[in-house]
Amino acid sequence: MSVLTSLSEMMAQLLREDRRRVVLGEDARDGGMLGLSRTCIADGTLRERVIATPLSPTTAVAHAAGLARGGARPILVFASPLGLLEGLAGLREAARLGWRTGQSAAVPLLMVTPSGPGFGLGEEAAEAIEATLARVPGLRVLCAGQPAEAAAWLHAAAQLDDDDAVPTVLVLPRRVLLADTDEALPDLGRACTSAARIRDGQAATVFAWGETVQVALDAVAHAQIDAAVVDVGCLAPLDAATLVAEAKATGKIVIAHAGPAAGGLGAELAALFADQAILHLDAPITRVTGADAPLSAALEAQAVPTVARVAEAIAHVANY
Amino acid sequence: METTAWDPEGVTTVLDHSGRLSDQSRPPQVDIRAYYKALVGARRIDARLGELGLPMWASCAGEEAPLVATALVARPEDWIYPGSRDTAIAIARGMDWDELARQVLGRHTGGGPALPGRVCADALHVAPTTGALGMHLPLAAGHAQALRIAGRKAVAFASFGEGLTTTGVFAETLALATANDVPLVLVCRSQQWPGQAPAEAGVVGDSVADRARAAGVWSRRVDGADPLVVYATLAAAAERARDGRGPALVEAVVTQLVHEPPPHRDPVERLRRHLESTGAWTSTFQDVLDAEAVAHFDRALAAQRGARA
Amino acid sequence: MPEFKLPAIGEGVVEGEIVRWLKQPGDAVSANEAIVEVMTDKATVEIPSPRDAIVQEIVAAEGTIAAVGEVIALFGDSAVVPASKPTPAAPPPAPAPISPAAAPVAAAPTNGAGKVLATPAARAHAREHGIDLAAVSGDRGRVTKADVLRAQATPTPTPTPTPTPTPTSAPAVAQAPAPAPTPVVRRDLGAPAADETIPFRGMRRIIADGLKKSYSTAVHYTYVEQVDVSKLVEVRKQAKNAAAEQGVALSYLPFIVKAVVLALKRYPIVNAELDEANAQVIVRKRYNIGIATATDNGLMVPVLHDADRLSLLDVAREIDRLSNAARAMKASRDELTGSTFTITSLGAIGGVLATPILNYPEVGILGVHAIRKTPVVDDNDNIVIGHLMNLSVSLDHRVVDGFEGASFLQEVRRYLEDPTLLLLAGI
Repeated sequence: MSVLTSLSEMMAQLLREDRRRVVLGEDARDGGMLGLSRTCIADGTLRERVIATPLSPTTAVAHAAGLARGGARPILVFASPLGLLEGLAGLREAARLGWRTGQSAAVPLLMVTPSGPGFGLGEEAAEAIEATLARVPGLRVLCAGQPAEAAAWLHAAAQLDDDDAVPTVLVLPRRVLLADTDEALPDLGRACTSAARIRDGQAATVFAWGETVQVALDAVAHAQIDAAVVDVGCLAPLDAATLVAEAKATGKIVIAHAGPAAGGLGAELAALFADQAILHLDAPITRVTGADAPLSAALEAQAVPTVARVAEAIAHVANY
Repeated sequence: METTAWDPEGVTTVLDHSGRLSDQSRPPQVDIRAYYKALVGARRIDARLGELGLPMWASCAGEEAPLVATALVARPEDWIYPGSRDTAIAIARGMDWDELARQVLGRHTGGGPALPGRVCADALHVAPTTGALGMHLPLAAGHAQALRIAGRKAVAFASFGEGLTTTGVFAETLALATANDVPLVLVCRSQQWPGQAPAEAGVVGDSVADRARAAGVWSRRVDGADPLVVYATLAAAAERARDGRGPALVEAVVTQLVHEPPPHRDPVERLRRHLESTGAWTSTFQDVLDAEAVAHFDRALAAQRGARA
Repeated sequence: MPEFKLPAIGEGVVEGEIVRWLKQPGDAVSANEAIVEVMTDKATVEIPSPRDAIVQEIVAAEGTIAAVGEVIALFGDSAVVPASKPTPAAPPPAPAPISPAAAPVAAAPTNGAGKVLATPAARAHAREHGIDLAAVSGDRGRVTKADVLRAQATPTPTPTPTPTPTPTSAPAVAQAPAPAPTPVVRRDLGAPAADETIPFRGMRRIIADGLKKSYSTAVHYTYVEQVDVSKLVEVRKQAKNAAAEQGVALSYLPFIVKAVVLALKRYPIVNAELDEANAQVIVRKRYNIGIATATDNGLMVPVLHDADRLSLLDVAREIDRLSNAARAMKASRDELTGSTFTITSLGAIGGVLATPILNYPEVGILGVHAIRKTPVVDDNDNIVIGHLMNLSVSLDHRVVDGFEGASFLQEVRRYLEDPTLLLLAGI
């Protein structure tokens, strides 16, 4: 089964589970450019809760936030992360809307966006958007890593029933979207706000998220070093307790992520470890990231670190 | 009725300069003395706020009619998204005096409206003002749509000045609201001589209502110095939105008192003349209104300042 | 063109004087073969070559002072002697590995200023388990946690590292009384000689730096007491012959060392150092007594390690051996570091009072003056010939209060005035 199909089916399941949920997006009534609302449209009982939005990203985000404040459970689907970049003013307003009420009112808004290379688009569409999103105060940013978990991420991210639920963005890396999966897990098996160790190891720890999780797993195998891999998963706010505990476990840290190193979330993690795990660090905190320059469509794969580079970094810290 | 250079063109009125109802007009279904009392309260507290030296604060004197009318037209289940100079809405909606004083002084620390002088009264369905320009328009549209999806006969209002109509979110909100038939009432105050907008911005002498109509939104342009026509038009807009007939825009052309217009351009004075003409206004009544609003607010301000010291 | 840099020689060593090149340009040198002799404040050591190479050029001439890390020679290829001089564009060389032979005690790589290069995790583990990082070898130019764990698994006894020893001040010299104001007549002895310039470097400068550090950091105060050692003179006279039979020349110093150790046990705060960086006073539990010794190269302080565990005769033997080694510049780094308290004997020159400068960061130093025959009033009010000796103790007032300092010296006095107590204490 393709990951896109599993996500489309999960979207329909979400609408069946809660009548307050609505799906919005450009072309959403046609199934959406990613096809995520296709199953909803095919189901006559769900179709009326699929809302097409005009080509107006800023307003779309603020409008969805208003829907959330009004009692609905909007799921706003972007065809490209550019919508969120263009809609940043609306996103910032949405993220602090509950806070503005003075009583942390719930804003149960979920936004879903693809990110990174995979569609051969290059430039902004191939960049990693999560660092930009993560520094919007009040926003929760999640990023699906392993293809089998993509649908479970969507389900977990949509659980916004808390009294102080905050607007949430689920980033779905295009490489993950394009993957096939033998079995789409129905449940994440952990809180979506937690980081999780997905491979045990003693010699080093690789922190990664999104499409780079698979790169990290392959790199550990390639390097033939007993390194742990942690899927950071929740990028804002960071699960500092788990991340620091994992960092302390080996003291030899590689952070691998897509997009530029400068101002990236890898820097945030490195600062966290330097601050809270300094006495356990046994090698330089080493980042492996994507290119720091705009990328043409032909070179868009350079937005993600390669297995060889991550393996080299693992060997560097393990043998330091 | 003699028109002057101060009187806007192409607006609907029901009261003439002396406050008398024009021949064909029926008085709107509103307690006019209560409406007048709210207008006086808004005017007096606006003056008090002006004395506080709040950052980025601007007076709304002369523009009270659309603000107060919005608060009175809106039902308890409706929601109002005010703009940055629209504190009069929360006051007319019955905001607690102490909470009002606390917020205008910027004392809230756990989140709240964007700047001192702005207020949020979530329990009264008055949403907080936004930091980003005009972002309360799409928020109100979304909120309105949620009310409609939930099957409630409720409306969301968004209040703003005509300067905002040059922004993208204004155009986007019109598109979004018409596309989804959301029960949204846009309340636009157009200044005759806007203080900040350059003529090149294309808003001087332009009709926002015409532009909204061109975008497919039901709209009316009324005289903001005539509180009764403002109320009646807003009530009509809200009613059709409530009935599921789509969004509406009411443009009220107002004259800021800083320009020192003739007395009939002042909505408070226009309605006072109306009350006087019907024998419902006395100087004693006026003295009580003036004293009441200021006394409540001053006491609350003093309490807040005492709390700081 | 590989550069040969002066390697980190040991903790606290930041520079060394090039004494002698053992290899000249064109000579082949093999890995670990001595290439140059360098004198530091601790000792003169032979530095081995890190690799097989041909000496291409000597950069630091004999007599110059080179900083640790400074290029002192250039190597050519071990197989081929390059014909050309190195060019500035030459690629940076690999850092010279640190040879264990160059640093007899600390194999740990340092930053050149004495600080061991270790990862935070290594530091934390070492601190937690009381492991001396300086004694942990890090074979990749740094000490990691794994290196510490390895060292922990195979412990090797190493002395507690202590900073640079510094000598005491010279005894005070009495000024001649001012002459009467009579007309001054200068004899004609020809033109006065030109001032002589003595290079201020090597050991002299190291001594000066240590003194400066001590005097500008510690808050010195000096306390002086007169001790009647008449009984000790008798005891020593008798013991001297017995010691001579065992080949030991027994002086008073071993008795003083023993008295000091016993007094330190009673007043441990004097056997301490102030660790300002960590806001703590470290009270030493080893009794390593530094013996300030005049040598041709300046004052040196060989260390009598664990003086409390040595018999009186062994103390005498060790003092003899160490001072000879120091004078011959043969003392090992081990023998020149690690003192916790220092004794400076001013005996031969005498003097009445001195203000010894602390051997920083120690907090106490004892100056011992000559024993003089002096008329004293005994218990029966008779004037008899007594043997009196002055002791000057300098202390760091930041750590040792005046009362404690005085009490310490009184304790030393008690033992020296009544050697029976020393015997009872089991020297």
